[in-house]
Amino acid sequence: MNEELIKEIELAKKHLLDQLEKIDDKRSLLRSPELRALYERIPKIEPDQRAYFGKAVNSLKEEIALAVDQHVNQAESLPPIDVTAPFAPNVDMSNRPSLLDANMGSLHPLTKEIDYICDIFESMGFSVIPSREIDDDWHMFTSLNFPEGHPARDDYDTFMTEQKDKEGKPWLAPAHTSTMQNRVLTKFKSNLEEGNSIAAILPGRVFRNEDVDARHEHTFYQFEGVFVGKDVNIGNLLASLKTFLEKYYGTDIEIKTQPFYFPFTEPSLEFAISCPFCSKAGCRVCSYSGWIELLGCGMIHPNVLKAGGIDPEIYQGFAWGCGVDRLVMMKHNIEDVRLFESGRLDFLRQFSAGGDS
Amino acid sequence: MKISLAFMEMLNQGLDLPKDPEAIIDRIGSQLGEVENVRYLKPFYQDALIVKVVSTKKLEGSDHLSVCLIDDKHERNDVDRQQDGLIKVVCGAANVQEGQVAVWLPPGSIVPSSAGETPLRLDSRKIMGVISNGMLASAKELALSNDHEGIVVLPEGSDFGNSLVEYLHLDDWVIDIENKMFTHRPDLFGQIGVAREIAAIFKRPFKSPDWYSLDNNLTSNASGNLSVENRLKNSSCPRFMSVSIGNIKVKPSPLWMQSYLSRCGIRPINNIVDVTNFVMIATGQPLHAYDLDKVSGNDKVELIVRNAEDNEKLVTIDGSEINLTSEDIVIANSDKVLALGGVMGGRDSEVSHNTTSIVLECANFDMYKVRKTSMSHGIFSEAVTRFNKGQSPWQCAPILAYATSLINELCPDADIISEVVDSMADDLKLPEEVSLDIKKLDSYLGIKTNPNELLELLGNAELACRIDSDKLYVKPPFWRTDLDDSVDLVEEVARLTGFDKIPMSLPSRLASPPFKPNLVNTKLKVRESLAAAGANELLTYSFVDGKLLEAVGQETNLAFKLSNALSPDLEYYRISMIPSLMSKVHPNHKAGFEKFVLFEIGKVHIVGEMDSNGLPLEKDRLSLIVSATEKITKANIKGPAFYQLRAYLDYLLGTLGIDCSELRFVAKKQYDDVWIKESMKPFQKGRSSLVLIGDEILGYIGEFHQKSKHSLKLPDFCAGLELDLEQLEKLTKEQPREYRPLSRFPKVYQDVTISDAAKGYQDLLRRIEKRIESLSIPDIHLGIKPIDAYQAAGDEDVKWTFRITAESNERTLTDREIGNIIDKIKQD
Repeated sequence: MNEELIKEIELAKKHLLDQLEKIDDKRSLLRSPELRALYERIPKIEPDQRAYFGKAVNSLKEEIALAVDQHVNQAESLPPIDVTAPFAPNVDMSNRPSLLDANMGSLHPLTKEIDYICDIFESMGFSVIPSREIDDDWHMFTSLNFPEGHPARDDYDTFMTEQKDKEGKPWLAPAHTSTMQNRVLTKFKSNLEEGNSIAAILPGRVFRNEDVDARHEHTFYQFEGVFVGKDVNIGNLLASLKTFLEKYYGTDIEIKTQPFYFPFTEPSLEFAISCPFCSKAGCRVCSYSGWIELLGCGMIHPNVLKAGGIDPEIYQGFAWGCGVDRLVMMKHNIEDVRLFESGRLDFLRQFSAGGDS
Repeated sequence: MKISLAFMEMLNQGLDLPKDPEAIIDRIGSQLGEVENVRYLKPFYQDALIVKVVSTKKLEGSDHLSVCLIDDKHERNDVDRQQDGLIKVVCGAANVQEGQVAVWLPPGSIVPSSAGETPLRLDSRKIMGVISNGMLASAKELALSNDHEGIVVLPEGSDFGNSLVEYLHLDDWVIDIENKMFTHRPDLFGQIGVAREIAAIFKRPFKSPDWYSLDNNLTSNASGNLSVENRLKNSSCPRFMSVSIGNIKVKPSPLWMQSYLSRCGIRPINNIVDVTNFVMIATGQPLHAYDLDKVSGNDKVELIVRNAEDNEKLVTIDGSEINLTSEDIVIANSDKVLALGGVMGGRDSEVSHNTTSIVLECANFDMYKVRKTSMSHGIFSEAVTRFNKGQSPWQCAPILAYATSLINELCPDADIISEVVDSMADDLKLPEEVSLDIKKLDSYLGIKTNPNELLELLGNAELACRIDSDKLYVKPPFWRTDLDDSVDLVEEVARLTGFDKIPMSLPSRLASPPFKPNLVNTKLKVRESLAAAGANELLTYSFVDGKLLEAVGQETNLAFKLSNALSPDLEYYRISMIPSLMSKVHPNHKAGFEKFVLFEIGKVHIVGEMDSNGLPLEKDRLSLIVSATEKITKANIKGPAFYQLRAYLDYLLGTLGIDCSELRFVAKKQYDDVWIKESMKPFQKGRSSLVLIGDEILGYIGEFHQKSKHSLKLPDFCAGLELDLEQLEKLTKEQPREYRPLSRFPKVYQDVTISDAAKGYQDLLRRIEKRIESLSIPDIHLGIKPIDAYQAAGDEDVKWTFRITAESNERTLTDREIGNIIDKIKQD
């Protein structure tokens, strides 16, 4: 770049930094006419010099931005405090910060529901193993009898990371809590050898790459159930779910099933219950059908048991996966699933002891 | 997957289904798959009549309308007739001619294509002075196709005076079943397969149409003009059959065929394409027809099945240009690519109304390859839907024969002009026999099955089976590619029996207590304690915006990044939780909440930190933030937000029973550990610190630096902490607190004020504690509690006032005793 241009930039820089000391609104410097004028000059520079000049103007702007930041930080930052102290000096006891009114506090309705669900299953003998939020292809798909490239994988719109595992596969944001099945089978395999069964419930956050609206979230909660033992049958599966749901809703319910396809269960079923809110009379919650489709379930596929080191000739079992968000929405009449992760206090505080904001 | 009961009956002569469609729909729902939609067709067509156009005459004053006189054989009695009994209809179609047999929609009827939201009801009305009664219908108006060129014309000599419902079997139910259920059942993508299943559900024997048999092979005397070089026969194209057919006359297919196609959601195109689609929806097997003249060279057709070369091009029949890769299967000749195997045909070789000869293809492609091609080019066709479920290559032969016979039916002059080419994988095997222990079956079902009933149940679905020494053996028919494990037979029996017939009982288990990780209990305790202290638990997304990370100064390249994020604001996994909470502060202040404490329990990850299983290390964290607007702080809060947060920290550790005597706050200029370094980044130096118990780092606490406060619009009174839950859990005391016997003697206390010598409170407290320790006064219990702090303007040091309490279980302490102790504490 020729010297004249270098000089021009140097001059502008000096002037801008001088200004920085003088003006009150430091951030306004980034919008100064001088800087703008430099940018406007770029296209008018001789072509062979243009690129250099453009770069120089950019780096000047970055430099000024940094200086502004430092200034602002210094000028606006609060002075250091004694971070080891229990309270600030010169504040008498009555003015010291204390805890807020207990009436305002609240638990999130989703986590509260998960606790409640886990409590019931714990009382039915199910261990609790929370699910992961980042996992690998093996746990999410392969160990669950989803062969590589299988079209069933398409039904799980799975988020994946740019970062890869050792095999060069991306990490996955689990699209179902079934991603924990293999770990549970492996962990509790010894139960079987001791003549007991494996019974576990796996709550967790799952993710689907789908468009968000009042009924669909890319982030939601599920609880997976796994039960393995000798002579475990389909009737056991249906009875376990029915027993749980009757306890959960505190009322008798009827159940209805429908064949389905999941690679990790065979047979696979969709499971519906008679609407506990209207006893099948028809209401808004069940869209006036009297029935609510609740979850997918089935008998664990032998390949899944094998992947967990369990001999499917001797043992068999069942599994299910159920969404939590919808249970909570139905229970509290929440119309929009997006409220759950909104962090809005007008939503959250409705679940406080005080009952409202 | 749309099925039509009338179509099924047409395809399967002798199909024995219950008369009550509701019963069928109900059982499909509980034994086959979710019914998404049901349409009863008759009401849409009940008034449509087949009539004869007796005469046509140009309507005076119009350039395109004609006045037609039609004969309905007096079927309709509510319409104005001429003296000769004929009915006057004005028609705008160019193709209307005397002597045609057409479809008439009488006055009062609703145009079928308009049924639904805004039904168009026809009447008798004057058109340019002539009363017109209803209309002669086009295929589009009958909801049969998009053809609106002219009226529908039935074959010459067709009978008239009948209802269209009768003619086209429109007393029909179309049932839409969810596809997902059929992911592993390629056979159920055809009407025949579903019909078989429904029959078996109702415990009625089913027999496939005669032509759907391995014995049905197409033969030809011609030879020498069609060859296929299937380079993929032992990999991704296990079977490729084709034949050339000449003397074709391309025209619309007969109304009945168009009608069945449109019922199943397929748009009629022309007789040749319609035959391929008709066969596909009947069997699940996609076919393709090429215009022979556009694929041949030197009077010969020489097809090649191969992988595409990178960057080869193909324009598909829907007009999009595809840039092929070596992953794609193509059908080509020596010049160019003709079709994308199993996915879509090419535009240049498609059948048009000029076509006189065709090459008909009936092939089988690898489901994984088809899926991959479909996904990578974004092509979703009826063929893809079927091929990616894994169709049976065995059905190619009977289906090619059947399709050829249908073409012959539609084009009586058509003849086979080439050999029948069949290129097949060397080791293609029919499905092998599968066995299942009856004991295992009974144990799955929880009932004792009856062997004869079992054989009948499966036999109804054309499964060849036998029972031999307590084992069930099933030889799957050639179309079933899904039965390869004993549990597949369990499913078959359970489904055909009906899951609702299986008795329910709870499983038995030993009474040993279930397992629950301590961490789960700790989380519960933490959440309940904080909620009881007025804090609100919130949940935020696990994914955040790169801009948020930048706003708080964290490195985006240390955060796991989604390659297929929904939007840029959900692109990164979190390195720490606190930025998410910071982003929720301003919206809540703006919504009118002046002061609040928010907390969340969640998981964080950082690139490079792996766990012992080689997975990204996942840490459970508690994050908590306090914030108050200036309005509130001015009125009734004194001091920095940091100390409000400290109150929550002390409370939380207290409720968890964590020993706080070792609680330390350490702030450093630099942190070597990357995760700590990044987690500390949102905080302001000088107003933040690590939280430790002994030497264990428990987490981070502090107020935020100016840049993040500015970009997230945080008030000055705002501070956050983040604690590692695993550490909290480890430190949580399981043992109950030790009780100290109550003393009969009075407690004495005295206040003492000591300067921290500008070294901070923690340092001062440790000094005092050390001195007390060195005093060794075994029978006196000493308590020390800070009650006040004073810093004079301009002073560096803070003067702390402590209340020292002393108590003995053995005697009354004197003021002098405590005075001595305090003197020693004060001594430098």
